[in-house]
Amino acid sequence: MVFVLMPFFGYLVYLFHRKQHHRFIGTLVFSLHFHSFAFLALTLLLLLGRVPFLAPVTILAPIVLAIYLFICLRSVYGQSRISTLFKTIIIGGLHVVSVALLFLLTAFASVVAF
Amino acid sequence: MGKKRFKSQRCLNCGAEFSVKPELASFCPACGQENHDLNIPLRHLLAEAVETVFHFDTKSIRTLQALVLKPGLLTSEFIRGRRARYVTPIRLYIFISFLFFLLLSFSSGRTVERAEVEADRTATGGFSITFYGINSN
Repeated sequence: MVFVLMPFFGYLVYLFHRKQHHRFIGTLVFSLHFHSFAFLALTLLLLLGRVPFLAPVTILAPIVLAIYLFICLRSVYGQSRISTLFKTIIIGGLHVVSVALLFLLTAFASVVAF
Repeated sequence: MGKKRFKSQRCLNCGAEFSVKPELASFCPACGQENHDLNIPLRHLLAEAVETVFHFDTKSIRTLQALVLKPGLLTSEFIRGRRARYVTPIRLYIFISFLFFLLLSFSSGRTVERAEVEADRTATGGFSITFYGINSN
């Protein structure tokens, strides 16, 4: 679901930055880079989580990704800390909700099809 | 950066004469063929193939370093038009996610579908854990 919703995340970033005359292609690339990092971080965290006493390390994933998103938004679009924090929370939150919704939808669809 | 090329003053494909020195003409401005004679000993071609791999390697190492250590730099560079020095964004994304799903399905004998469910669960901080049981069978 994270994989499928990657362009949608780019569109969310676009919606929050189009007033500054940023193009969709830029935010799409932003999304590609962000998700590249996300999958890289998830790979490392999930592999670390396989080590018995390091299992709780996977809890860090959303925190790491949120911090990374904040730094990325701030570095690329250069807005104030408060504004960037606000956008990080809204964009990140909407993305999590959309992933969960799509998950629920496909789960529901598979139950119906069954 | 120095790739060893066997260059000439005239394009071997279309015959156009280069207005700059052969060392500076990497591609023909008229037809786009690389200014590089392939009619050379095979060992040179093999050496070149090895070089291509290492060339790609420095590019990917540079990209990975920027991705992890300098968040946002890759995107800024892309917007500014500095693209050739980094791995293409879509290729980076597909390669890394491919690696992720491959490793995950190998490491625990799960299917790719289960791996994706686990990825979503981890990425969203357990948000979808309530729906987890629905399609478990």
